[in-house]
Amino acid sequence: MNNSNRYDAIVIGSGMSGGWAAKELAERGLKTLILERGRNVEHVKDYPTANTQLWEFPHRDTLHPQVLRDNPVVSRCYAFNEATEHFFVKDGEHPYEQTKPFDWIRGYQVGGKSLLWARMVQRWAEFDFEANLADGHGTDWPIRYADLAPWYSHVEKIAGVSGNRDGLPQIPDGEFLPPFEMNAVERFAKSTVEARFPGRHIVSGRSANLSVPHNGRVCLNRTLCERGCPLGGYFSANSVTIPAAMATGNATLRPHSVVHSILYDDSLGKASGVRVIDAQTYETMDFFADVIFLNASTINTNLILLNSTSSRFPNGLGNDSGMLGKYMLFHNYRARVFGELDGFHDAYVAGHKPGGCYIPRFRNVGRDKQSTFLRGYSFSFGARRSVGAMNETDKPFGAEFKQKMTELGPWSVYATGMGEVLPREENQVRLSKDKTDAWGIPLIDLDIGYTEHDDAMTADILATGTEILEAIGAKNIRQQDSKQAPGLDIHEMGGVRMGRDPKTSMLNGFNQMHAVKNVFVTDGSAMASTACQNPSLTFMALTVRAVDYAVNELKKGNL
Amino acid sequence: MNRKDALKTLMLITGGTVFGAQAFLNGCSVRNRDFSLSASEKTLFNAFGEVIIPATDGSGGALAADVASFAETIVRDFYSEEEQTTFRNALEDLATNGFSESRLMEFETTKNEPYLMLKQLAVWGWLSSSVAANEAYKYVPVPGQFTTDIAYQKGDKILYPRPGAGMARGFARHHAEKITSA
Repeated sequence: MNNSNRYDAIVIGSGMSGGWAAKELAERGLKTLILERGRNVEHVKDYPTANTQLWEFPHRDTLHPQVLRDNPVVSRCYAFNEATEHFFVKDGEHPYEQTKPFDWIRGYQVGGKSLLWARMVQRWAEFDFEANLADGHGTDWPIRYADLAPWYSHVEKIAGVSGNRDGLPQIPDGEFLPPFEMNAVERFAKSTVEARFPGRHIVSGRSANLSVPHNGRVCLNRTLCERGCPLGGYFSANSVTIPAAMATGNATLRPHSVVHSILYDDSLGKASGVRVIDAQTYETMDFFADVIFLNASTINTNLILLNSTSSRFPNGLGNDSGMLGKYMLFHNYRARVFGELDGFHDAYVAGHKPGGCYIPRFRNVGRDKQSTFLRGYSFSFGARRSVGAMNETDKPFGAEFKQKMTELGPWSVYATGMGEVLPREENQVRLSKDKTDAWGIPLIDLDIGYTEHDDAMTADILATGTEILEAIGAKNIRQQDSKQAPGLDIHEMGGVRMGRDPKTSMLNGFNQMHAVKNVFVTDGSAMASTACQNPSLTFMALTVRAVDYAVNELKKGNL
Repeated sequence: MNRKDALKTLMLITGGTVFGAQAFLNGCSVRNRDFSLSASEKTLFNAFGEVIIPATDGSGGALAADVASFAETIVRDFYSEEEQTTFRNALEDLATNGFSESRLMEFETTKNEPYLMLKQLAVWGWLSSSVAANEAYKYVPVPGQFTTDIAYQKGDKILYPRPGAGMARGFARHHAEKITSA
């Protein structure tokens, strides 16, 4: 065994959750190797467009139509444009199979999609961890809110989360910096809706953007987040966890490292290391460690485990239960309602707000009982002043036309649903039978779809969204069911689910593989259900909790 | 202003039809990468643009923003050869027959497509220029804070809406379809 390839810990993936694993492991003194399949993206230095003015882009931040044509999947992502395209995987670069249509949005670089995320960080409710047990869909979560609460706090304190303490059980309060203000229309909507519909609340979205300076970072409300923020104004692995890991002197970052598989040592009864193919040289090499954290992002984590076969685990590492790759999850983002509002003509704002408002789940909460669907959905909600005061009868060119372009129009309001999907065995990922990638690794085949349950929830999202907009007096209300494929929510989860029973789950309550005790999986793949909160915060909290457990177990000699 | 607001503004301005991009999305990617405008064509396009968006008190118009150079880039890079020809023919028509206000009004009434193509490029080019941002709007690239309850009166300069991000995608998706969303 080559000693230079020997570490205490290996973290596969450097993004949202992997960065935390690396930081916490390195800070606890473990020599930690961070494997990242993409290139390095160093904070500040590798944000080439961070300070580019709109008119300095060749096409004014508009992507070439041919890029859109050649990359239909990634082009559907709202954040993919001339300023950010270098942080997104193009469709042709890393093909995958779609038994059912699935828009898989990827960022293969150090930091992964944490550079690009929408930064909404609501905690889960107590009842979210109890949902599987309560209605029998999916397997019971092996943890409850109280298990995770201190770790939510741990993450929030470091990442920096702006939010109001709203005292709502659906979204427990956390360690908040001051909230971003709601504008006049949003405050009106809050008071109106909360009076009219008991149980429905409109709150300032909890956001991993800094409303006040925090740990040497600051948000100056440029709202160019997805380009990478030189000020570290929002949480990303690049700005927070990777630098913290490196600062310990215990971490080694190895970009361009495509993980082929996790190596299993039958004699030791545990994993011995990780097989890597260098993305550039195609050289295969093995790295060894006492403990392995798998944080390759939901679908690639599934792929790595499915491809990690041995005589002990012919169907994928730790897959005694046959559950690996099953019960894939996502969020239903199909439904959106929007309209215009009269009035508030003298109300305006200064600066840009790096987030919106949030309407926590109110369906099947408390006394609300729905007959057509289980669980519920939340909304992202907001009001914005539109730009342009021209009417159709105005002269369509000339000085007056120009003037009207520079005046404010009416307020527009929107509510976009985020629905929980039920855990279903049929939603699966599998290895392709005959296709491999450039490194000889099987492609992943995605077989994930909606059900009538999702359709019923979509209909209710449109109905209540309309009620809410009507209540605040919106006009010209339009409902939209985009029927977008799963995946575009960029909330893919599951496949390596946590559970109490090794017969029906892959991981225990500490994200530790039931069957391979020194492997921990703490990205979205570990999720046993989705709730209807943006999921990254929960991945991060699970990660830091699992690291604490793993390090303690390691010290006790149990791994 | 978010992207959809920007699109809405643009669509309202240009009458709901969007040019360019469609040929590519249909799978036809024939275009002439050598497309360029002559000095006189640029002068002509800027003069036309200036009628659409003139210089007014305190802010430059299409000429100051040099919308012709922007149009040249977009037409060269985004348009099919057929659309490039349409663009050039439309310019030639302006050179031959002029662009009096009455003529432009007639184009507007009949929804003359070559005219609307030129107009769109002029408006888009101006709206996304530093001239528009810094002179016609209040451009604060680094606001430092977000505050609400700012009183607004007609005539106040409004925040620069930063149009452009994803506009081509919007064009492609909503081609010939009226954008009415917020």
